[in-house]
Amino acid sequence: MKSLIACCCAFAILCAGPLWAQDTETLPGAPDLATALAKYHSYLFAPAVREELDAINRDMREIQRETRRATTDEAREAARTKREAIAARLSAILESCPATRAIEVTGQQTTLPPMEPISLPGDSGAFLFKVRTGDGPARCVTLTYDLSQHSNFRLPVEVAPGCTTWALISLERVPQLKTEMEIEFAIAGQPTTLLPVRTITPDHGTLSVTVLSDDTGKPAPAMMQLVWKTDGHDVRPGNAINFGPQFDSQGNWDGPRKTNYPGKLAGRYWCVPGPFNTTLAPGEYEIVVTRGGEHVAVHDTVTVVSNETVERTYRPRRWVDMRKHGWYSGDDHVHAQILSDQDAENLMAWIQAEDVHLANIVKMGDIYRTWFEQRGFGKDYRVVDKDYVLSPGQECPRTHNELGHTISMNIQNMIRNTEQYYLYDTVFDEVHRQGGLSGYCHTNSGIFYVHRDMSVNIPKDKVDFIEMLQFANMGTDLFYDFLNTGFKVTASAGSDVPWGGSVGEVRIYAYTGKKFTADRWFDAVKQGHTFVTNGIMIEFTVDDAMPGDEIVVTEDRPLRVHARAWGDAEREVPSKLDIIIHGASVKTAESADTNRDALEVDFEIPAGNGFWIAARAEGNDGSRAHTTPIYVVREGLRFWKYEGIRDLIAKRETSLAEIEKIVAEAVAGRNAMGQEDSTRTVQQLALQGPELLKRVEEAKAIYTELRATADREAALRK
Amino acid sequence: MKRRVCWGLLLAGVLCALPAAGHVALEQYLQQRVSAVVSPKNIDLTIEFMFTSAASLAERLSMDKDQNGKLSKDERRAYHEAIAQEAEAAVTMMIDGAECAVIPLYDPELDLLGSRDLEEHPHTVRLFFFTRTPATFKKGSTILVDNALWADVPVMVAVSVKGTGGIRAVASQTQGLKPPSASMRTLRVLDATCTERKEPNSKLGG
Repeated sequence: MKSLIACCCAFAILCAGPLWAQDTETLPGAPDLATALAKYHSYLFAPAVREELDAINRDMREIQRETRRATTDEAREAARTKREAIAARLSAILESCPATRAIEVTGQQTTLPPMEPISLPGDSGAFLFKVRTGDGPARCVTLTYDLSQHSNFRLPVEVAPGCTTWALISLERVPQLKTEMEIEFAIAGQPTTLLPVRTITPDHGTLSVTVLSDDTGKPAPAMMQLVWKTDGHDVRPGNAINFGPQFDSQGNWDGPRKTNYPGKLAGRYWCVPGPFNTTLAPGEYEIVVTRGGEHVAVHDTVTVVSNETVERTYRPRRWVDMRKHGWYSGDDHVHAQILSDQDAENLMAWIQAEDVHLANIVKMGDIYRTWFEQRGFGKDYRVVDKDYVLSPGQECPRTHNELGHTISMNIQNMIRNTEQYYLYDTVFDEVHRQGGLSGYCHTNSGIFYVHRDMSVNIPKDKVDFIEMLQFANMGTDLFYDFLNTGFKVTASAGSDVPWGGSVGEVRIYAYTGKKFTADRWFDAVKQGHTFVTNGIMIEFTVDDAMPGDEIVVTEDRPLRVHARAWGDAEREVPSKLDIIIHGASVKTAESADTNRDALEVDFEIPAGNGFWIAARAEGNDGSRAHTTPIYVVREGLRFWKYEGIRDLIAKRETSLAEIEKIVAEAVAGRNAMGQEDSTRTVQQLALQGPELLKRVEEAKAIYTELRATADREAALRK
Repeated sequence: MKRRVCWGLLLAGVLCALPAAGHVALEQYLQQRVSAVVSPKNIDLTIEFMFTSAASLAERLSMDKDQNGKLSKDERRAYHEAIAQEAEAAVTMMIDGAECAVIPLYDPELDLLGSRDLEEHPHTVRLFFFTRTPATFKKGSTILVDNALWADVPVMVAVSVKGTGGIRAVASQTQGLKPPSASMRTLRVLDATCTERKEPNSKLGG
């Protein structure tokens, strides 16, 4: 991270070119100096001045933009006047900075500042010099040195002659305690001036952190942010897990997890498996501790003092225990290699840190190869610790420009035959034969043309679930379209780490009742007893039915609908609760009260001709929840959206036509974009095309039959 | 002007080095993480581009001008500068339908994640912008941000929005993964709505 400072600042300076060869702008170099001070070194100033520093940086940047865009002399003059005023503000706070060291080099006279050591706050920091070489207009220079890259600690600073230069020198990776260096002030036409400097970095202190489970009061894994307030940089907790080696160089495999938690919780977190000690530069640190969506995050600021240990014990409060309601959390989409016990331990710590009870750990493939290898599949290769389970699955077949990505859970063996790669039903059938569950990924966004294969295989009842919540994004377009066409679809959610941020940042809850086992959880998903969320919780019943259930009615009788969305005032509260029938809201409860932790609706609705009905909720932090529908089936009728059914069927047929087109292109040696292509992807699509087209024809027949069903229903519907 | 054209050509080279839209593997997708912090004074926007290993290699190839397999400080700087120059024009923001000045807050950051070699190794580019919060910004106001950088490359977008100082804002749910499209020139990377704005002196109002 710190090398970034060097990169940015060096970039800024080198772009600036020779210092004295620039235009006559007021205080040249000031924007870069203001940025470096505001972003990294505000510690040099009194707290009251730091806000002004940020304001100056913004004003500087704004006026730079105005200057670049000025097209008239008047606009340029106005910008110049503003810039002068901002430069004067910057000069004033530089003059008042207690850290400034003055150097005077005029004629043969050189006056160096007193040689007292310069204290840095930690292994990074900055010097601010005011170098006067004459009475000309002042300018600024900003430099960064990474001392780990220098064996000779002579740091050159180019200074313009005949003026005052404000020189900010940022230092990174400064050795501990005392370091001797020389600042080499190079002034055109004059001998170099050497200023010996001794830096002193303070002794480190120790931070000792324990996170407790709110259930047991014992140490537990957690997700943690640790930020040094002095420069705003992340610090890695001493025992944070590096998942990189398990990510096969895929996605975001390096560093802290960049989470997609909703609202103010989003940010970079480390997974810490247990208590840790870490030595740190003294100063204030901001700490955020989370233990998943059922807990309230803890925010704290600690002050580390040299040679002392500061101990903290955190116990994130569980605001809801969904287990007591019979609901257990899961993540259907976690990529990570498990080839050793250590790999398994790492992942187990992660799901416990996020309090996710079942993670589908997926080996991934495409038509060429596989990633995220597993030791094996099936029950023998599950990793179980109390009521937390890692269960191996697969994301394969997986085509990006043709048919979309599929995901399977609870399989006994990896199922992959690239000579049938485009015949997704062969995998779905085998998954079911093995007792597993099959689904589609990324349907929240519809990427990878997943709608195409959905149009083939959902009508054939070969798919158990779809991912409609991922990356904090709930996408309901495809979900609603297929439901409206009268197909049962179960809502699921998956983080897709390492592309996603953290396990369980979106989650599927499945109703297992009070007793949890992996098999009961999979069975609940199979039954459609699920909802998805990335924050607020939701419950939903129609009469006695729960999500995924079917209510068959023989007459138009009233049905009792009950839904509740709830949260916690310290985390998030529901702002909206909708009851959705056929994709449209029929009942809404709303609240802007941040202390109101629940929204509820309870009403009767006529069964009519049947429908699918679900509950959807939004949190005031942007989180979303959605249940799988309850299917109200009027005997003799489908639960579909009858009034729009012809358009819906036409949409699916269009998707099938897209498949016919890409197969035709492949047969002609072209890819999905019509470009000539001889890759295996296209060759195999051409070879498998006839079999795929047979399946398309079968799907077409289903849609034709659905049209006829719609015609027949016309007379039955009232 | 000449310099700008040169950098424009460089960026064009960068874009050409990436896979053609419409036929790409997931590993070549570009992940964008967009985060906004909305305060009564300013709206800060950070756009992070995360190049996965394969996509990063294409970028690294474009950086390695001397083709020695190492990304020197000068080469990294040139890449950096090209992005900085293009970014200001490529990122646009509308608040309640009115275009806002999108101002760089800091210089872009290039994080090569520990490898300065020409290899399949991910890297990250972060861009920082801000705009002044309009006086008319209120509950129900919408913020739309479009980005034309690497717009021809298929992208996955993750969005987070935070409100401070009495403002609460949430991202809409129309974001997410963006399919490749030959005609795609800009991406809507942020669509957020202000859901609450507490005026500090509202209790005093008559």
